[in-house]
Amino acid sequence: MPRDMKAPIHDINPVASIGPNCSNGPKARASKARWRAFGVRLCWSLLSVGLFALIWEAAWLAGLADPRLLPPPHVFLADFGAQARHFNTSDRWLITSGEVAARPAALAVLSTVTATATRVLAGLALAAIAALTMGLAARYWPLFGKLTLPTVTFLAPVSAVTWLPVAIFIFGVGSMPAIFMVFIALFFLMLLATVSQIDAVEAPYLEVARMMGASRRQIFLQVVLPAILPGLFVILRLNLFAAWMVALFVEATGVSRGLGQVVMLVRNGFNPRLVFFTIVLLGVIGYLFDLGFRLIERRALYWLPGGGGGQYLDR
Amino acid sequence: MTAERPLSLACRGVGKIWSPGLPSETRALADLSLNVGHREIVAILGPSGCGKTTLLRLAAGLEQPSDGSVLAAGQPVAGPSPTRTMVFQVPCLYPWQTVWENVSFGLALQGVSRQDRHDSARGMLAKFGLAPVMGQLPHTLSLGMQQRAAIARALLMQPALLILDEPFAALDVLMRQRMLRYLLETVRETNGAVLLATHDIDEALALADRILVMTARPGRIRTELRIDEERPRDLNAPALLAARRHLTGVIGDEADRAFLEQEA
Repeated sequence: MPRDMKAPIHDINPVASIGPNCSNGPKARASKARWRAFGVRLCWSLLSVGLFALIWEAAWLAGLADPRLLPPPHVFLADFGAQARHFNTSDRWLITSGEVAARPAALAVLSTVTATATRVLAGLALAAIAALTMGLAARYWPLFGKLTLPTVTFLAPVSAVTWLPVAIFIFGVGSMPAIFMVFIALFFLMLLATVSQIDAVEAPYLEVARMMGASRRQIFLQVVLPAILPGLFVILRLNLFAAWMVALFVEATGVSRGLGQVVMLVRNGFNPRLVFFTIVLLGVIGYLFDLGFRLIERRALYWLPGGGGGQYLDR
Repeated sequence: MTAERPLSLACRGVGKIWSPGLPSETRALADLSLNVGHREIVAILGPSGCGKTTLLRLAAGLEQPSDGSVLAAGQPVAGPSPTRTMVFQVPCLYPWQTVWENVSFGLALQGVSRQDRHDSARGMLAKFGLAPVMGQLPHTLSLGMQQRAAIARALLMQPALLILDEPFAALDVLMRQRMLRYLLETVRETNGAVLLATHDIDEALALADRILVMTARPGRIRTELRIDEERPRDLNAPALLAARRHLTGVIGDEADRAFLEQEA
């Protein structure tokens, strides 16, 4: 389709605006209002977490929480330097070289988190793209769908954990088995979700396209695809945490280095300070992932009545 | 109606049975015949549930008849086509496209450039009073405005037959009259015929060259009434008052029959 974007078309305004003359005014105001809403929400989040920490600290002050078993936040957070040493698992091969000690603790934490996060994102992206493509193909070519979907339905309920040996057989150790496991954990589910989303596209949407003379290909790419995206984002976001769990599990078995190994270390070492430090870290990462996802969603689904970006759980 | 021109739409002994062979089998239409001539405006009146929508969907090519044949411009209707666009009872705009993108969607499918689409959409939307909101997303518009956009979308394809399924139900009375006027103008410009289903007798009287009254289910044509008054029409003219009285009687009769049948 030829797209003459050089021509000035003033009326294209992807952001829903209120007034008929949608210049920069209402747009900027909307963005400002959105930031304000974000700030307010962040304040409530911090207050909520702060309150929780306060109760914990009070219990410690009152002597109800044994600092050896339930160290309060100020204790395990102050111990950051000592605990972050444990994150050097991702550089364990460097220990003999003496380089590890020289590294700042924060960097060790960051490199470990990055290693795991990259695997989660890679698996997630591959699963989403593969599921979307195959789902569309399964409905576009009915024969292909009939040949593949029964197998997918058969494999979907199998727990992802069961696939670990397969991951090791095929990919050995390293990042690949973890990515594969995240992929497996999400792919079948997302594929079935894609197909059911396609089937649920409202009939009038398709009928309008047919009346306007759309080919099958045009219907799939220009009507079905945008119509199913919101549903797919919901599925993707709901499974984000499952993807993390799988990645941590694979790393904990020692197949790949990363955050999962620290979790393993925590379990084996009986180190309460590290336990709570890791819990806080995972909480923060999860929060940031969800936030990032919502921002992507808002971009991709700008046309949804709520402005896109799904619903906040912590409303 | 000239004899040489092929009929815009011709239904010959059309029947439609929903879910045949199942316990829920329903005979929506039976042995229904009607013609819509070149540039003719035909209104179909009937009690709700009499199969008006089914008939329109057959004309649009969205359904195939169980019996008989549906011809458009002399050719059997095999499927939907931009030459016969239908406006549903609900607007059904794509929420991910702006108003003007929705209206010019048919042109986009043909590969018309964005600028050209924008220009033709603007022209059509201006007629329907929607030019100021053409860059907005559908959900920011009222239902009535969305329905006007849907009518603009159907008209932009310059269809040989425009099929309207109670399209003005969501509009208020004043807006309805304006829409009727614009619709008439535009249809005259594009030389198209109109098949309109409604249960508003005044709407049919104001618009139609011919009014057909359908029977209760299974639907067939019961009465045909030709209205020769010049447009715009004064609905209080003696001829139209008489026509209204006649139509009210016939429809009331059919509605009673439908009600009794449902009771039985």
